[in-house]
Amino acid sequence: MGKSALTSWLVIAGKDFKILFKNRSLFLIFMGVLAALITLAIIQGTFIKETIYTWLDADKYLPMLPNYMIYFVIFTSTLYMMNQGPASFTNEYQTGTIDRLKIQNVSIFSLSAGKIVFFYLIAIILTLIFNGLATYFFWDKGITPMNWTVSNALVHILLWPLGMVLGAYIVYLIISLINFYSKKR
Amino acid sequence: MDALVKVKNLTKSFGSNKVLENLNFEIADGESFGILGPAGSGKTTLINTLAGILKPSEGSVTIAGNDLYAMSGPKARRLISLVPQTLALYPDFNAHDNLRFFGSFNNIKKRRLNEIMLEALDLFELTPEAHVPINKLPYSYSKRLSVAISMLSDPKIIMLESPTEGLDDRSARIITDGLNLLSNRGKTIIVATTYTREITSVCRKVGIMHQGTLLALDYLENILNCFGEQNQIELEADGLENIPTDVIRKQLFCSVPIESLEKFGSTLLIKLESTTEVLSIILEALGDSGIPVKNIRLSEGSLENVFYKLAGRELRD
Repeated sequence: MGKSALTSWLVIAGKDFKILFKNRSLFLIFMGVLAALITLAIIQGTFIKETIYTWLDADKYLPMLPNYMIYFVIFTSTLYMMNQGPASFTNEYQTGTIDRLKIQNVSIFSLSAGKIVFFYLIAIILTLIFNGLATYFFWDKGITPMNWTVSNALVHILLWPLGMVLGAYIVYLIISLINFYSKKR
Repeated sequence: MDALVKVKNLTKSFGSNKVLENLNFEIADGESFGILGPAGSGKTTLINTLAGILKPSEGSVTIAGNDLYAMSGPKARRLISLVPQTLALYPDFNAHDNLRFFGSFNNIKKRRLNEIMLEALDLFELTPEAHVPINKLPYSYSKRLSVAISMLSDPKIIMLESPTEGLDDRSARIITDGLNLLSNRGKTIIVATTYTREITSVCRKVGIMHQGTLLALDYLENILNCFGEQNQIELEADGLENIPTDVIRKQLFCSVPIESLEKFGSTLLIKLESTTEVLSIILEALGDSGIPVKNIRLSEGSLENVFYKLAGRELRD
């Protein structure tokens, strides 16, 4: 992978970030997902913590249990944003900007990679906000609330969101291919 | 002028559908070249092939002696810029954001990019609203911005598809003036369009396309002359009916470069290469001979008529 390909990924991801804050409908979706995660973190840290963790071994199920709850939200919202809206994979085809990008030597692979970087960064931001809030509620559980270790952080903040984004992309690709071939017939 | 773009035996097919068939032409460095054709004639495919987005099924395209499709991406990027027919912009961004985004792929230093951006904004009269999102501005603004983006890589060749389509006269004029200025600076301009006004206001050379082939290819004035579409003066004057055509041509208008002259009673039909320069000479000659002019009508050669003549009935249908 050359330097210019990596630059293209980052430029595309940066462009989608800018669109996120400039496009009202996309920003509302993001804020909706964020609100859902904050609500989940509050429920998790108040009601669930008081009930479930009284009979469940918290050391054994933290931090995975609350995080599993949010991965599904990330997967669904990512799949939705990949499919429609100004950050979607189809946006460049709808606006015609794909021709301009092609002549700028930005390949479809670089465009897709840039968008995946964008969705991955969004997923990390959402996971961090959720866990930051959830950890705050678990502060009285000990010196390492929610059992945060380096490996736990790697797995739950970096790897799982990546898995969800890539999973959403695979589902998006499968649905797009089915759509393409059924239209062709 | 040396040929910058050489197209040899270019054929492009999509499956069994042949969209371009055995095209051969050259475009000189710094020339403004028009591709005129109706919808479905293969203009878009041709311009996308010339821009390197599509690869030909047969034949070759060389730019400055290099095979376009063997050229590295950055090299081609420095040579060619394409303005698609659609706006191809991000509507949530303002002109500045759009220019900066598309300019960031060009490996140009930030300072130089800023200079080009300011020049592009100025040339296409975009500066006053440069910080307003383009979805809040009229279509003509976006169209001008779309053309301005083509300047960012400082390319040798700017290719455009219907650059003034759907625009009011003022905005169309801003774009054609801008393109003419770029052409005067040595840029090679290639315009593919269905509108003859875009060709006549920007291009010197024109290729008329129909069903994937070039029906005519020459300089604009040669095409107009070749198809009998010269500039014309229709003149009615008392006393002309008694003067033989030969006498009018050889004695009265001896200093006028006339292509052809016909007389119908007291009306003269004069075909010329240029109407503006010779009109005063004709009027002076008639005045000196004591022939009062009753009526005069000027008409310029119409590329549209040539277009219809060549493409025939199918075009009107």
